[in-house]
Amino acid sequence: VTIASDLANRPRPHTIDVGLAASQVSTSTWKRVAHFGTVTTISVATVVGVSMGLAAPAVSPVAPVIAAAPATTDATATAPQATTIDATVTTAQTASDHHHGDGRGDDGHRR
Amino acid sequence: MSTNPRAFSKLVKITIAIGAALAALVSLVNAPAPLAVDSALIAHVSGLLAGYVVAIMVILMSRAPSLERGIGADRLARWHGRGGRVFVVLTLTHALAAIASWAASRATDPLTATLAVLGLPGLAAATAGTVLFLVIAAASIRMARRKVSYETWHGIHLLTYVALALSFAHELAGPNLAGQPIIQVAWSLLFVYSLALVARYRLLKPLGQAWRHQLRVERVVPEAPGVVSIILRGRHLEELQVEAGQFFRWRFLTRETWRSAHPFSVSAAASDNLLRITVKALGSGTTLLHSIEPGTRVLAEGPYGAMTARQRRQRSVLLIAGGVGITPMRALFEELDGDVTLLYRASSEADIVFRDELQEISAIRDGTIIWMVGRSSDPATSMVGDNLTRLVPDITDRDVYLCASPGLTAAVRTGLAEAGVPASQVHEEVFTF
Repeated sequence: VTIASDLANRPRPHTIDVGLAASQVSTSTWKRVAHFGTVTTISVATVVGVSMGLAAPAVSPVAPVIAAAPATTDATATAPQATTIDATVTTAQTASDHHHGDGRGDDGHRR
Repeated sequence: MSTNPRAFSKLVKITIAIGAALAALVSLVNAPAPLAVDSALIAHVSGLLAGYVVAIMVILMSRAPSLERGIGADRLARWHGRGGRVFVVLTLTHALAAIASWAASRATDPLTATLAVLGLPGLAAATAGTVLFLVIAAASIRMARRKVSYETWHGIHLLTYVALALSFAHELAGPNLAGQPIIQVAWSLLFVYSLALVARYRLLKPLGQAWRHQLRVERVVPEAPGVVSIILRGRHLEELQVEAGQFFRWRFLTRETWRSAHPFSVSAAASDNLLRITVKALGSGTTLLHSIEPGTRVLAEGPYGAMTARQRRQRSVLLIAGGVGITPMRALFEELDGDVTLLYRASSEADIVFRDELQEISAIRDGTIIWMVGRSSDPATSMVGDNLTRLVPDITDRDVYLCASPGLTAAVRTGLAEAGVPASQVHEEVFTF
């Protein structure tokens, strides 16, 4: 039993013109369009995602600044300061090199 | 379509957990050796996990049919809510640990460290994104939700996408991912796919459906005090493959109602050109729908919902409906085959909806209807285990489908447990977003 289909046959207080035109698109065509939409969405998303990932920086912009921190948390230590300043320079140069060439994979900036 | 929702839910949970473990591992890739559990490590792990949780929350709310039908909208919303709390904890942990790490490494005070961290390259946008996320989380706290309209809350929630965009660059260029092209590509794909799901199923699909089905209000039929059925006419509705027990999110395109989409179950099996929903006036939005004009255009997103025949595992079924919760049960009572009993709880005779239809279906399918009419405080009509067992002696051998107000649902759940019905046999969907 399908009660809803019977709804159409029940007496109605008035007839309503809802302006529905017969669709020119068959179900099979509509399914193909929907499938094409899904495939297109996945393809575009894949291209965008891969492009974004490949375009991402090889050296974090915050890394040189973080690397400037002393290697120890000992607040009294003073000697490592000079060493870490050198490390900053090195890392910054690496980052700069990357922007003009192949710097990928250089993770020497890590503390 | 024989997916077991419980098995599917478990599979999705395991997948999410594996993803979280991988995200945590990624945060250790660039960590200095030997590994030390300090504030820097905590900042890295919590930061990457927070980013992962956001992507998962977007996916959960993308309305992808496999999730909506396989898990259920109410369960997804609960997962999303829990994920929100986890995200807030992870984000705050990330921020505090990063500041603590800076303060320790520079031997400076927390305020100076905070200012220094905020001044790091790219951190301003990420901080703005984080603040937005926290505003969204605050607006979603139950107390705050009660004070703002659905439309306001929804508008604030849409800022999620802005917050996501603001913080994404920080994640991709952060110390964890920078220099790891494969991981950067994977991370980008995670976010782009999650947003593509949203675009596909929350934007393109509803627009496509609107064009394809051309739904309009056919007429509004009073059913009971404060309850009307809205009959909608459209074309090619058979393509929607609506199952009894499922719902759509309906947006009625009038000046007063177009802003919000309400979830309503289909209250009768769909035909090729007609759908019916039944609406109780519970608030200003649903009250407006009682006087909706015939001919009004309607956008319908769906069908959604996992409370369908696919959940059935037993030969016999008990449907329990409370008040207007009869709407999906009415459709299930019509569609489910075999031994089906409907237990319908209403406060008074006048509140019973679909009395004639239910009796008609009962006669045709040889089903049983138990009318339980009276106040919930009356022991004779309360949903305690003894009453349920007395009314349905073989209740433990049945699948139980349940749709009622949150209070009644909780009471029935307790009663079913008292009656010895295993939780795995109880199927429910609660619309309390």
